[in-house]
Amino acid sequence: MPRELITIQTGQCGNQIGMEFWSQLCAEHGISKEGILEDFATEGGDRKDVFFYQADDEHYIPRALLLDLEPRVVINNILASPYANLYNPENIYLSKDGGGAGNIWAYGFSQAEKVCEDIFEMIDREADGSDSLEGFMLLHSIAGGTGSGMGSFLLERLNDRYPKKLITTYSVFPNNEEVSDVVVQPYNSILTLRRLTNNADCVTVLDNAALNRIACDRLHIQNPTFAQTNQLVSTVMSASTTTLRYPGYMNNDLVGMIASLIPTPKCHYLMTAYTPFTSDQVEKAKSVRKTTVLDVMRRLLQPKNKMVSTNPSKKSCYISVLNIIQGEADPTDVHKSLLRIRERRLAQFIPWGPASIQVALTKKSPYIPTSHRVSGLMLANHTSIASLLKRTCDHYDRFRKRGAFLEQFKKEDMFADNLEEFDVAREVVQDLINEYESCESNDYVNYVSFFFE
Amino acid sequence: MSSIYANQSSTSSKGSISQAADVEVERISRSLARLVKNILRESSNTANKTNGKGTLNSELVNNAELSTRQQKTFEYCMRILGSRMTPSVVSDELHYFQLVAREHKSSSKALRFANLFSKLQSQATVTRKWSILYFLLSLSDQSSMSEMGKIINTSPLEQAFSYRGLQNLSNFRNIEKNKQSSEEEANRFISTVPSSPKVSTIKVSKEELSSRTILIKQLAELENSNVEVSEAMLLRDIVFIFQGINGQFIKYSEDSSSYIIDPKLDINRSTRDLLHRLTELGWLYKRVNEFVSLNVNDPSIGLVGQAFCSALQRELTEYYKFIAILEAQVTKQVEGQQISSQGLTLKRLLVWTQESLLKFRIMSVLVDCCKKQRGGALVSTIYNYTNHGDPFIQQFINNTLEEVSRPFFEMLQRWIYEGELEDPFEEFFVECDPNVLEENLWQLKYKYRQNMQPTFISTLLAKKIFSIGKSLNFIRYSCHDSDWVVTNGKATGADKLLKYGDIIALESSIDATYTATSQRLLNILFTKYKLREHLTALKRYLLLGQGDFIQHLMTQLGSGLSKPANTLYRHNLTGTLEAAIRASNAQYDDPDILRRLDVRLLEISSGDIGWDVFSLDYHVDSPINTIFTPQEMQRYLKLFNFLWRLKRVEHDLSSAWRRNTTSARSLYQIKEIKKEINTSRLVCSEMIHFVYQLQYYILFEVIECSWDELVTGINKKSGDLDSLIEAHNKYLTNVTTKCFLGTSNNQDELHSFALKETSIDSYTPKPERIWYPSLNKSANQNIRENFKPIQERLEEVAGLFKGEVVNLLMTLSQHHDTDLRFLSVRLDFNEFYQEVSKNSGNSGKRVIGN
Repeated sequence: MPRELITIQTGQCGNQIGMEFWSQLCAEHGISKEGILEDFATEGGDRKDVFFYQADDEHYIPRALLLDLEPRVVINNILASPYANLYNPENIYLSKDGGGAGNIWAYGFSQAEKVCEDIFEMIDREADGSDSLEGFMLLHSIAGGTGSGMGSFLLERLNDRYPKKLITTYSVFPNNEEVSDVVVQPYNSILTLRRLTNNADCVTVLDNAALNRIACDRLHIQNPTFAQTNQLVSTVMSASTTTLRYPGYMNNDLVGMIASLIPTPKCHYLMTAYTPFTSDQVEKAKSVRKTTVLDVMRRLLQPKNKMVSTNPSKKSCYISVLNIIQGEADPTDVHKSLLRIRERRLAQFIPWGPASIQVALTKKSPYIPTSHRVSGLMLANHTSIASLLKRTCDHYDRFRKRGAFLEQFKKEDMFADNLEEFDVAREVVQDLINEYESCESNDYVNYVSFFFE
Repeated sequence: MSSIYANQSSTSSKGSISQAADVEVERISRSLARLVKNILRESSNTANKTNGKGTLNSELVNNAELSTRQQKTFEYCMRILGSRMTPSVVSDELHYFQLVAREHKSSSKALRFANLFSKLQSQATVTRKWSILYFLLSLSDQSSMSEMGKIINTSPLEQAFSYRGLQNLSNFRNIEKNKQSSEEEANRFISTVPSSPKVSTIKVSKEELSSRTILIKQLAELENSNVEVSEAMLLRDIVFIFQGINGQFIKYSEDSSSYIIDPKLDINRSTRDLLHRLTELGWLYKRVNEFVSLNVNDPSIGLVGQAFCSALQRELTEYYKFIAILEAQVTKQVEGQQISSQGLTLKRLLVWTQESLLKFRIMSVLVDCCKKQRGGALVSTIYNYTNHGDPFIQQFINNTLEEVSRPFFEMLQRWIYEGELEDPFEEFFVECDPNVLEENLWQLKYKYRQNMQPTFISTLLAKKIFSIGKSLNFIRYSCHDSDWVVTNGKATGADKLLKYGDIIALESSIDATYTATSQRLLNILFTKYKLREHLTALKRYLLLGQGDFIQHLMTQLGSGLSKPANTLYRHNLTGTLEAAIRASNAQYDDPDILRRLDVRLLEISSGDIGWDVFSLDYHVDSPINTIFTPQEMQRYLKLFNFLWRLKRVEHDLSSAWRRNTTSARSLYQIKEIKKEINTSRLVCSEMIHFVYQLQYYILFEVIECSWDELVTGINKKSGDLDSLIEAHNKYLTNVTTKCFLGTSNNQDELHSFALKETSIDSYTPKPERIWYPSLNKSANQNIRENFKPIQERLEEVAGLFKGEVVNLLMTLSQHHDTDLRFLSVRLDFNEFYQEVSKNSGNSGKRVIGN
């Protein structure tokens, strides 16, 4: 009973991340680009069936749905890549008219509604094909049209259709500092955030701004391409799923992993940090240093390694932390590292309940050689995520005040009569911000949201 | 008696002589004067010759001196002849003939002597034939004794004795007569002893003359006392006593367990003292001989004991030879009625017996302290004396020990090369219990006998020896690899002979055997019997390392185990187990290992539900059950039980969380209970935190660290099976104690505490379980009232939980084990509970929800 996870990748961004993710998983499990188990992949100990299933010919197929309203850009790329034969062709949905969502959330949402049945037929098929479906994993960006709009639609519908299943997302947040080619990005974001808050159980925030920063600082790439930042994302994604794929004492399923991270259902936005980032392409990034558990755990707490750009205040604190350490870690080191971190007060925690750094040691894939012994991923529930949300709200508020670029939305039924949808979304996000802020004080135990949806 | 008789007879014969003819005396004195004159002249001539060219003057002076000396010597000789000094011997020619004949080893000489003897007998004119023979014998004795004197030249005392002995010997009464029959003897005598008796007699000094007169006086006195005894008589007694037989005057007294000299005996103090000193040897002999004769044929004394007896016996034989010589000597002297110069005196005897005495003293000590000892203990006891400072004693003890330890080393050799215990009398320091089954071969079949361990083998070495044989037997009987044992035993054992004396060689050869055997045994266990795989399997299944398998089992069994225990069927459970194996990565494990995995239902007591009695089990068989003994498996089961409960709590909490989270969307709509729902989530998350941290602790600080230690220990591959068992035992002890399953009181407390926690934990999700259906139904105004009991319950549980955690943290932080103290750090990483306990200390109760 593998506790399967079905991956739904929507839009340009979602599919790009997905492609990287699957190629990473294939490499880690010793599965060839065609989905055939390599001869050397005999070491076992890994569970491939969480993310793959086997066709009649032993061919490994990802439990993945590739959805896009704009076929020409990404999915065709995938189909032209060496991984074309990996996916189940039935799981690829391309909009027939090929018009795309035009970066408008409302288009994506409404078009998804139209093709809802086709998509859910695919989802149901995948769900039926698994023994004990644990949940869904949505890969998307919240800025574009398809990923945000279609993604939002799917989140709502999945909730209704599979109320007991967990929904986790890997959501790419736009780089607010830069002028985006998607002008309506704040609208798209706020509308998607509403669904992410209400309909998802766990959101792993991947911030483009932070990804670019890491690419510059860590990998020494001046103008990172999407492919390069997506590689960072796929590294994080694969690392965050190692405990599911290499079963050990604990964290063997999604619930087990996030139950300790998310004490209250609303505060389910997780940030990540990863170290060490190295790249074989870039000479400067090849730096090999001594990696120990303490070293890795200390680095993970440093802001420069976080993949979300937040502005933590003095009161910001960790609600929970899970460090997934991969490689040849010495279990006795964990003990020392925790003591050191506590002594130095390198991390601040919530005052209203017990919290600590959890550490999971996992195996590293034997098939991928790395230059460092130990690598680590941090999944953290940190109150400073509110600052990111606030920034999005600020952008939205500025746009909304001016009533800019609303015409495209008003074309859709949802927004035809009024813009209440926007207001509700804004309030939901504000409520979330409030809850995160109240988490920073002792009064959280008495916290009651006075927002009623 | 015989000596008295001899004295009487001699006096009576003397009396007849004095009466018969003064003519006779006249004749003797004349011939004596002539003889003295001749001899002295001859000696002065030879003296001059040796001096070189003597001058005429000096010759004249010499002549004057010579005449006075001749006069003095003549008088002295006359006095001797006139005295009644006679050797206390029986006057029997035949006896002396035999004694003399015994001296002649070559048959031709003996034949010639016999001829001469018969001629002598046929001469009617010679009256005292025995005297002639006795004289001859004494002469021959003299020659052999002086040869001996040369050998023992080192002792000046000895020389002094022999010189005086010579003097004593001179009885010239029959000199002329013997010339005809004993030229040969005389020749031999003269050739071997350059200073002939005649010469030495003449050289008598004044002091000796005076001592002579004293002796004569003493003899006269002896004649007058009630019991008079000669030294020869005493010697004979002593020789008897040396052989443990009572003498005439000296007798063993059982009362005082010592030899008593007849008080009537008129001897002076120094002689008495001498006798006492001599009787010591007899006393010692008696003891040793008693021990030997008592034990030599007694099988119960054991092989080592018998070896000891035989070593003693050998010494006794040596001693008997020595005694025989003495006896012959003494007999000669007694019969010869004289104390011969080359023969024995008490003092000489004392000197001669020194070596034997020393040996007997040691032997007697050994006999004393070995009386109740057997086997190795006996060897040890003897070994204790090897540190004696006297090299002679050391040598003697070492020789004895080599002999005594021989059976021991034979046993040792068989044990370490063949694994056979050949010890019919339980003397070896390894003991075998034939009733013990093969399964317990390693633990119980062989026992270590501390008291039988010889002290020259160190305890460390002894343990190694013990382990070697045990390993051999283990390889042979439990691992069924007797071929190796046989071939290896032949290869290594054939050319070596272990014995006492070379402890270093012994140690090195035992070390080599030990290493080879242990290596072999471990190799067999690790390769043929897959020990490492079993250890890993136990960690993966009984210590829940294989997470996906355990999870599957938990999910599948969950509902069934909540039912009463007596509704459970083993076959259903095994079915689920198999399904869990198939569905998880456990399926890739070795089939042999999976075969051993089984479900076990513990004893059911009333009211138990499935959770209480369910347990996984892992079957171990011979030989690996030597490491995984029933006791150890019991500990594994105990651990499984604890971890399984903990996992169950985690599982329940996870499900509660899942319900919480997935139902969150519908619950948002019920605004009335928002606060309570929040509270319940926080309580739940607190519990999750507790259980997770506890599990992380168990995983990293307990299981993984101990496992690491174990694996390092195993990889070293040093030591034997015992050290492996010990490492494994340590591993389990570590894990159990740190999982609060130890036995000490404090930890019992912790354990029961942790169990309480788990029971509380498993309780809590239940109110929530009740919650949801009720919530869904009751979206009406009364909801708050319906909800009240649940809320109260929740608060109670939350308060209880928090209180318990705080208590636990207090206990933990004061615990002596650093790892346990660290658990308290882990559980309260952000010092939340510190605040709680502070607040509760200041302002009473303060729990979540208030």
